[in-house]
Amino acid sequence: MAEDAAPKIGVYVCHCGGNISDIADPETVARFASGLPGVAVARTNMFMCSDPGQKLIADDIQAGLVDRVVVAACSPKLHELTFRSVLQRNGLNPYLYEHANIREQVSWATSDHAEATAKSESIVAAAVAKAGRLQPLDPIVVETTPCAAVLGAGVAGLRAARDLAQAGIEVALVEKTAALGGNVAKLDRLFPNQESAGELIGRLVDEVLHDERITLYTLASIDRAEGYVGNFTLHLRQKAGGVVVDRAARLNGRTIGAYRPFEGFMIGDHGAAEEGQNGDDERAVVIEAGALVVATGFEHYTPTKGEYGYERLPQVVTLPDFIELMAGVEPGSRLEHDGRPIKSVGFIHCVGSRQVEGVNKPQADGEINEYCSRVCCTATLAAICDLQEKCPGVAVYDFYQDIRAYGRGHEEYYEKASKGGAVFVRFAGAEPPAVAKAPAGDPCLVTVRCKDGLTWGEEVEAGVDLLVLAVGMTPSDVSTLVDSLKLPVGTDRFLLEVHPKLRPVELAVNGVLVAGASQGPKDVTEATATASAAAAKAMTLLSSGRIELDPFVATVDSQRCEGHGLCVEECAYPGALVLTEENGATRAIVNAALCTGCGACVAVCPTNAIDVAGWTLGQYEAMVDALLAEPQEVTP
Amino acid sequence: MSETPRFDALVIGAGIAGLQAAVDLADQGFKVAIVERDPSIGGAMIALSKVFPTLDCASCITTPKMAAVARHPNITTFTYTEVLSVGRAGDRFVASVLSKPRYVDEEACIGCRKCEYACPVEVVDEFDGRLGARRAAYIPFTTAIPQTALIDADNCTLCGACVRACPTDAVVLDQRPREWQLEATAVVAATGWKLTPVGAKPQYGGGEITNVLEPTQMERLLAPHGPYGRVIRPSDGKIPESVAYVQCAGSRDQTLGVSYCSRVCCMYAIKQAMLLSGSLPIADITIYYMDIRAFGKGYEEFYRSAQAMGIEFVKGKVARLTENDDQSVTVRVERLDQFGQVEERRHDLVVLSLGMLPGEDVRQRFDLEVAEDGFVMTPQPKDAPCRTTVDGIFVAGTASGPKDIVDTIVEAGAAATEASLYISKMIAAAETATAASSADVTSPAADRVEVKV
Amino acid sequence: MSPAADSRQELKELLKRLRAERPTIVEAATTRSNAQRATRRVIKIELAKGPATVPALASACSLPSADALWHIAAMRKYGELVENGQDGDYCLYRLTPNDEGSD
Ligand SMILES: Cc1cc2nc3c(=O)[nH]c(=O)nc-3n(C[C@H](O)[C@H](O)[C@H](O)COP(=O)(O)OP(=O)(O)OC[C@H]3O[C@@H](n4cnc5c(N)ncnc54)[C@H](O)[C@@H]3O)c2cc1C
Ligand SMILES: Cc1cc2nc3c(=O)[nH]c(=O)nc-3n(C[C@H](O)[C@H](O)[C@H](O)COP(=O)(O)OP(=O)(O)OC[C@H]3O[C@@H](n4cnc5c(N)ncnc54)[C@H](O)[C@@H]3O)c2cc1C
Ligand code: SF4
Repeated sequence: MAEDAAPKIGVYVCHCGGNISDIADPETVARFASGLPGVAVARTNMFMCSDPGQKLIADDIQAGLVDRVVVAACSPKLHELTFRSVLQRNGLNPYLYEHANIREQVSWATSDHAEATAKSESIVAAAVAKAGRLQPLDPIVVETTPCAAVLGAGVAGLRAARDLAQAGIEVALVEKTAALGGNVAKLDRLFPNQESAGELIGRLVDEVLHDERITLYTLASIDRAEGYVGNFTLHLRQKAGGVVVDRAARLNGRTIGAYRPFEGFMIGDHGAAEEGQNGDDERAVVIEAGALVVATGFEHYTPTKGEYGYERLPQVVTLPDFIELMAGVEPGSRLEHDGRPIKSVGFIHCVGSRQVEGVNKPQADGEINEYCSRVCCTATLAAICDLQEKCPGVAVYDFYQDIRAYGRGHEEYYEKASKGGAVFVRFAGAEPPAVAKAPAGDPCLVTVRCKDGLTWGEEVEAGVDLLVLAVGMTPSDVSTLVDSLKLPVGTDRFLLEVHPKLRPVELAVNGVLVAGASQGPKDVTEATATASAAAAKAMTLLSSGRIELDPFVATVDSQRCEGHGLCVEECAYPGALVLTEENGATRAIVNAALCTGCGACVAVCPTNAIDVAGWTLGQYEAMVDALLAEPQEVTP
Repeated sequence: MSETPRFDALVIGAGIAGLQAAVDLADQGFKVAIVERDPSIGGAMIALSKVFPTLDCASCITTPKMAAVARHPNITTFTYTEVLSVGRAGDRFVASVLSKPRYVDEEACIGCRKCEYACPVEVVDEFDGRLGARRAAYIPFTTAIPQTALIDADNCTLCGACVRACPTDAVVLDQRPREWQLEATAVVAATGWKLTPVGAKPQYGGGEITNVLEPTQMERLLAPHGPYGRVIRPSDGKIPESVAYVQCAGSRDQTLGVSYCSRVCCMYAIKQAMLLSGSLPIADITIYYMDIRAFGKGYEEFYRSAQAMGIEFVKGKVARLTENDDQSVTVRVERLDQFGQVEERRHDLVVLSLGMLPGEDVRQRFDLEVAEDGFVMTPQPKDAPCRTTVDGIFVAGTASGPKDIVDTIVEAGAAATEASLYISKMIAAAETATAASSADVTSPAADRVEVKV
Repeated sequence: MSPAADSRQELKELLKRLRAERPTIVEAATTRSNAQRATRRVIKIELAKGPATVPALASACSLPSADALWHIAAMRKYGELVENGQDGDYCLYRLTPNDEGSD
């Protein structure tokens, strides 16, 4: 395969401010690169991604010195895009670019200086070999559906839907239950400003119901999703009784509803059933959307039977249960539970969170919940303050590991609870408190025993009438969506963003955004902030009506294709590869928008008729040859 | 019409919050002005070493965002320019800004640093935590944007060496400060934080003990281009054998007027401890703490790996720090895990985990109300955390309270959404007003159905 | 690019005018700078004798060791000196071979 004109490759080796240069020597690598065939210049810079670094490349392109670029730096995940756009801005096709990863793959993985430098050289040699064979490519342009789907109508979903609609985007808001408001609806007053949950949800719901660009579906769950950025299709199943609030429903005034404490906002005069799909059975709904916002939230951790006496002792309840109990207590009245007066209450933190290998029972997937649930400390302290205020005589014991009252106005609850006489006992994760039924004759019902980390590990025992477990958060089940769109999930089972700082609300599947507690524990402030941030990304995606996708997709050489169809069988993405008749002959055809460029088809084609653009077999061979080549120069 | 430049949005402060908000707004097609009082954009983050919880190098995350802002066709960047006040004028805001003299022509300077090399005056470098040096003519740091030199008039001896060295005649020693105005439909206040004072507590040496460091100084010691190129103690260059962290040294303490938790100190201390055990493999590292608040995504896991690496966590309240003759520091601690028993330990270096104070007096300058903690008040914290007490001014990042970078960036995106919706609303209102005055049209909203909820 | 004679004259006048505008600031800056340069000369002389640690250099130059370290940091930043191994818990520094006289 002869190239049209000899390529002029520029190689730029980054120090990464020491991240690379502390181990591998960029100067040696650059010197080595300058001797490789096709390389016109090789330079180094402290931070290639910085403005001065990018300028090096720009100047060389402008001066006509280089027409292909290799940057040897960090992972392409971080900055491949950064450098492609340098090419583009300077009039080069952005795909005449090859990235060599010498940080994650070399300097962070190798400690031997000479080896690291030699390995960097090999990787650069391979990249250069490929760069010489790169062809200009054009991005795939797809039209976008000017509509977004928001999954979950908790505070995050409501806020995202409202933001998108106000930006002029049509929104489908899909809620699994009959009520709006999610888990916040199961609360009474919210920390840190003691705002009533009902008022907060009412305000958000009001905006959502008023905005005719939002179509709301309740009692609807996702069966399956398909498509790609700009053109997703969601297949929903709406249960009998599910409501659809669209323009027509608004005209008919069928959007009246009410907030019911500890249930949520219900559409319809007497609850959902009356206003539903006229008693039909389940029905299927199909939604087209250009972008998806996943705001499916969390579920409370359910303690296993017997964990801290849960479901064994009637006096052991969860924090959400306790919040609901307290909501019904008038100030100054007597606290009762299960028909008995309560004179002392114990609280245990980190139930289902911050678990320790070998101490806590693993979850269904065999993993423990290592993560901290972030809100339960302050929620517990707020509940204690509520209790102290309403029932001043009740004794309070709080068993904790660390008090994580981190947010604005959180610390105040801690102070107030301490001043109010709550006794704090500190346990270690490896030695959680032991809960037992109090012996007969004991004035209390339950005993909690634990080594107190505040008093030299002294064994303390507290008798309480009620024990509240501060249960953590676990992600809602969104497996149908995760499976059909292949969304990434972290080891904590929450949805995993691309990068917590660079792209905190985007998932690795382009066009799918994440908001609220579906990403990890968050309080309401943080949940609505991510919702608005996700809305900003969706607004940018959908504003121009078209999206450019990377052209790294399969291409079929119709001269070589003999229509065997093995590729179609191998392809895992429905619709990406199909066989069609072309002038009487059967040929494989690629739908560029659906193809992910995985290359499975390339491997099975008996006539070598398929290649992935930008990653051709010829390019791979050249890279492998370069990697296997004898080192030209042994570095000291 | 005046010549006042007009923008859709004004972003005050070019820390990571301001940068992100500016890009998010500009990507939606709005014209944005971002104004930064320092000579470079980047804010506090660009001076950090590596960042928790991913341990990415701070530069690697910040520089591309800085470059994206500097290059964006919809963003105009003003550096070394301070926003003095913001006031409402009809349907928009007017900001008074002060462009401080760089004594270098921004257009002509090519960033070659010849002036810096020629300058004979060396002074303490603020950027390097006051540990290193810079010249009186200088570019603030290698990745600064813009790559434009400036001359520090307070230390300039007027020797003229820079003028003679500059190949493009860019040095203009008689530049004057310039106060001017700009207009914007919406404002994002991303004015950030500053550290609680190191000298606030006499028990901790009142800022007089050389080997008691601010955490930002330790960030510089750990950074790839730190003042010494390695971690040594500032008193005499000794490679420390033991380093200690005093948590909550400036926060959760009513006597200092900072009763709140600064939210990032636990995590940055753990991060620095981990980085230290990488660069000083044999040193003992101790963290004296009250509670470890590793609450964010992946943070508890980060804390556990620090414990596994052998970093010692001691639950206790540090009562006093005293300097010894060999310039080591004795930490007197009340062990909360041992009946408050008092213990004394010697360390070569002690870092005070100081907290965050507001970075700007927003009440005075922008007429924004502040909460009890002094940070921008957010009257609707739960469902609209970026709204302030002034309609049209939104807040992002640490301007509304201590936050880590992840939370800051998310909030910046949220502030951009709020500002975007507000600007669109104002544009639509202006158009409706024009249309209504020019012809008889029925209101397009007339067929909207009012829904009772 | 050597400036023409009249532009040299122009610069001189400008500097003079500016000095007159803020005499106290410039004077104070000059005093500080002179002191700093004097110290720097002593340090360079000392280092020319061979590599030294910060405490050794400080006592040889009768400087507080923190100040000596600051000078070391400054010289390191501008390429006048490099690290040269260790002596116990302290790094040794030496002048950059072909850079002794520069600046
Ligand atoms: C005990 C406790 C007390 C708390 N107290 C406070 C407090 O005082 N202040 C505060 O700020 N925060 C508090 N929080 C945190 C608060 O509950 C969360 O921040 C908030 O609920 C997160 O909102 P969300 O919209 O992300 O998720 P959620 O509230 O969980 O809402 C998710 C919604 O998505 C729906 N859904 C789930 N799966 C699907 C699916 N597959 N398809 C469609 N819809 C789906 C759910 O039905 C739900 O309506 C507390 C949390 C706990 C555990
Ligand atoms: C020691 C330390 C280590 C840390 N390490 C980490 C870490 O590892 N990971 C992490 O996630 N977080 C870390 N943080 C937190 C992180 O620094 C902050 O989250 C982040 O800097 C906040 O960015 P910001 O944009 O809100 O504020 P800033 O970076 O302070 O930006 C505000 C900007 O506004 C400018 N400004 C203010 N007023 C005006 C005005 N009137 N006119 C013009 N400009 C103005 C300021 O000059 C400044 O540049 C750390 C904090 C500390 C103290
Ligand atoms: S927030 Fe508090 S109770 Fe909840 S998991 Fe974290 S440390 Fe435990």
